[in-house]
Amino acid sequence: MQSNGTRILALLVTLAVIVGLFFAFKGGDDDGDATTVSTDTTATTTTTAADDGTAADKPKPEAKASREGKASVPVIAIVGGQPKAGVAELDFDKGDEIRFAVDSDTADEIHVHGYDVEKPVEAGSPAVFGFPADLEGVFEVELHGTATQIAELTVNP
Amino acid sequence: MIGRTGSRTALAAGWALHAAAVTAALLPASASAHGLVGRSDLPLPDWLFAWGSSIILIVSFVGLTLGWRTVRLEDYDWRAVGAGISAALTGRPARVLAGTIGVLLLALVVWTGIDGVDVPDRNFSVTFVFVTFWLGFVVLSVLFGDVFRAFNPWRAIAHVVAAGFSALVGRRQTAPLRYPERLGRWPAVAGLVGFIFLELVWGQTGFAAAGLTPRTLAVATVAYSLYTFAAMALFGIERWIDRGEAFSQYFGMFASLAAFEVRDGRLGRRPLLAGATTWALPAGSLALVLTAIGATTFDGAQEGVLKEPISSLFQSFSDAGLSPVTALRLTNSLFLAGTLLAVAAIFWGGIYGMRIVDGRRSASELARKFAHAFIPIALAYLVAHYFSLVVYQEQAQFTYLLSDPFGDGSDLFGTAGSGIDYGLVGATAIWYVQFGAIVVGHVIALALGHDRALALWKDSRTAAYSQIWMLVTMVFFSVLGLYLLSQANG
Repeated sequence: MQSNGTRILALLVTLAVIVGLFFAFKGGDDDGDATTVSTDTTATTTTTAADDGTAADKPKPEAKASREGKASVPVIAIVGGQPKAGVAELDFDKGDEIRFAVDSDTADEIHVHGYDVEKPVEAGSPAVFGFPADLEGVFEVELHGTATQIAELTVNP
Repeated sequence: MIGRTGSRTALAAGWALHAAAVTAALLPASASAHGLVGRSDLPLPDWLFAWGSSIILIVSFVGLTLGWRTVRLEDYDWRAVGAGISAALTGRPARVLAGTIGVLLLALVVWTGIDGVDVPDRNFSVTFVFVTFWLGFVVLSVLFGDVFRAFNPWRAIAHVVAAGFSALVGRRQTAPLRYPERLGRWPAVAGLVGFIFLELVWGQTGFAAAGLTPRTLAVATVAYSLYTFAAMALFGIERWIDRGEAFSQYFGMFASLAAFEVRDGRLGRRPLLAGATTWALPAGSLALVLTAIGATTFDGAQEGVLKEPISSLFQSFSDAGLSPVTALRLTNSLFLAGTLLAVAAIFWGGIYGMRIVDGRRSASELARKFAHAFIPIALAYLVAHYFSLVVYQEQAQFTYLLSDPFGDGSDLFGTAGSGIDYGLVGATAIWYVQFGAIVVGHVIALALGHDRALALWKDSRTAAYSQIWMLVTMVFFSVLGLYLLSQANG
């Protein structure tokens, strides 16, 4: 029993260490990726929808405004009631200023869930958002008229 | 890696278009601001996932070798509490009160569902059924035992009707049919699958569950009520509650972990967890616990690891000419069925492993003997996945959904203007609750499995060997639970 116990212990501790290391490293990789992607500026959010089908090697349109400084404000382009480049990903840390703009070719109302921020957008004049990131979680940003999701707002602790 | 994210973008774009079409089809244009959908948890950080998995593995080993050597939970003692307390909590006035509350709430669900605004987040019915009732009674059951029996509206109505009918004809009625014992809990399993289908497949709008409209919910509630009354009339009220009624059986499963039990109308105490040891005797019990695990697994996975497979199958169905709504429902049905089958396969893998240790016992006997040990895992999954939903959505339930249940602008209690404070619990606190739930659930599952193994195999050596297999299965489920959380919104 004792020797069996020792063997099982060795096996499980080894497994635990392997699993732990694997994910510790995996986590590191992910962070690296995120940094690479974040160097890509807000321009990606406004790339045309046609690119998305063909350019498989294009990085995900990610708007890392928090790490870009306040100069670059991600712009989400809406064409015909749909986000042109897919659901945009807005990523902020708690305490940041959440800044983004929505440019639509039709008039609508933009609603940020959780924060309950609402702003009308007119055709041709972008709605610019700026509010403090004080709630953590993943929140939906949608067009009020059709309940179409246009962005996913992530606020990390 | 870059290629992967690129293709994900294309999929996400296509997905968004179709999801939007589905959403637009299911929701009226006035879909508004509050709760139910719109916020989800941040994925569990990798370091917490690594710690959780490691702790689960180490705790499993320690439990296996240093665990107790004598059976502790089987043939437990039940001790009646004081007669006064028992009468106050389970006596006739208490039962009438609880039953009345249950019936009124059922009526309110149907009434608001039919008469209120047909928007899920503005109508009392949807939040009440899918959060307050469905998740709230799980919590109450684990803490206080089978409280749903007292609040069960169908049971209360049936008893009143039966009493009235007996008085009218002058004698007590007996059930015309004998409940076929072979059926066991299978009708409850069917009911549970139906409810899950309604919640996760039928009401799915592309981003999160509970896009089910109040009208549909009201119709489903009435249909289930009629079905329940018919079954009670055929097989007897209490018989149907004890076997076939889906919610009684679902909540009762979690109540088996609690330290309170009513016997012959008398409230009593029993050791924590001990009630679970006799829970799995009827046929279909295993299916019930595995369905509970599978449902939460599917709900967690569809926003994370299964997001891409779902969206690509959805695409194929759409390309084949199905409408977005049909394509999405068909896709989700297939993935739900696949998840339930996968969960069952993992469980049976552990059981067949155990047969290597003792070939004299049949796989089905072993499955029946160890099914109850997976209740804590089902509970841990629920807590981990729905903790934040309960914390946030219950604020809605007790503020504007209470003051304005129909969503028509009324303000009964002056709380219609209040909203959900999403700052009440932070992301870090949610992570620790998720982590804690999975680890604690795993430990309790191990304890139940360990105790049963000692009862089955008198020598602790065989018991320990058999438990390696059970342990591998449980470790798999617990690590899977953490993994799904770490991949949420992936």
